[in-house]
Amino acid sequence: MTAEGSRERGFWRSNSLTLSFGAAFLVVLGAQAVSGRAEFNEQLAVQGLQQIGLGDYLMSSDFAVDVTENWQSEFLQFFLYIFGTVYLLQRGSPESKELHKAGTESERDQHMGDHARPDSPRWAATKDWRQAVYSRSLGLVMAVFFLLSWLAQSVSGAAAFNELRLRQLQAPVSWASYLASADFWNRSLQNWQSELLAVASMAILSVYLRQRGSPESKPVGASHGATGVEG
Amino acid sequence: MLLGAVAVVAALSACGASQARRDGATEAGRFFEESLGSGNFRVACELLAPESRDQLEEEEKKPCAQALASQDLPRGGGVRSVDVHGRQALLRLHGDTLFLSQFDEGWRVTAAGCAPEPGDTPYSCVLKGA
Repeated sequence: MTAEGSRERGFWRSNSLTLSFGAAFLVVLGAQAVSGRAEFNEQLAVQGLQQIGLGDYLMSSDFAVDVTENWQSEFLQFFLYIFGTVYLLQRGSPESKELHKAGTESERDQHMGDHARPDSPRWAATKDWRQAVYSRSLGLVMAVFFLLSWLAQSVSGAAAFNELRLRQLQAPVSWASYLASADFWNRSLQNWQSELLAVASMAILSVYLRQRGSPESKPVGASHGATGVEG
Repeated sequence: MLLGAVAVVAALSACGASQARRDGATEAGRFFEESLGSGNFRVACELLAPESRDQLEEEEKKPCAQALASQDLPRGGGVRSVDVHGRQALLRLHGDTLFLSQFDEGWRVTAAGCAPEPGDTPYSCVLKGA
């Protein structure tokens, strides 16, 4: 094994979580496109309309709304989880902080400002707006991704909705009208409820159940009452 | 970056009824109306979507051109507005309203002689597919 080969293997191993899930995301997104196009063409065939190729489907509002409605809910889930777990607790869950640590915690605990360490990110050591932004950056970015995805869902959803309405010989509606439509809210809410269920399930099931070796779980032998302990 | 790309695609897919598409739908609709107006029903039939043409022939039990001649279709004039979403279009003319759909051969009329109905119900059309 050369030093370069060892470094390369080290890179893949060091980043395997992101790389594996990123690659799986692209594969599944491709599979969604294939199945989505097939379903869309089935609808067109019923009305005797021109069926479309995969390239056209990838550029269609039907594909865009199906993708973005799921994206927005995932980013909303992480945004709520990141901000919610600052204040909300679950006794016995590794997803929760210890019960006496609710809130944003002290600068000492968070290694900020005067308590920053030599290897702390530069903005963590500042005492101005940069610290304020950086200390919330994970949640803020998730919130921005959520809002952008939701906006994209609303825009592409309106287009897909209007394309369907035209096929049904109905007049199209404006974007503002679409925001008040059942289609927009049904797409949004059906995703939100599933994300909230997943978070609540994870918070409570991790109190009593274990996954050996996973940082999302407590150590197998940890007591049910141990809070804020990761395996 | 990927998020941004999808946002752009989403925006394009929504607002992306390019001028070329709008022009294509408008031209096909106007050509259809001109063909009707000049009594060139054979050409008008070629501008009908297959499903609409089949439905017309089935209902009238005649070849398309003869069946179309016997329809009480209004004659459309100048363009009032055109809405294009994806591969579907609504063309409002003075005197008539058409629905069109994009095919490999170009835009084709899926419904003609259409008038809005009260509420959010579909337009009522003299000629349409199944």
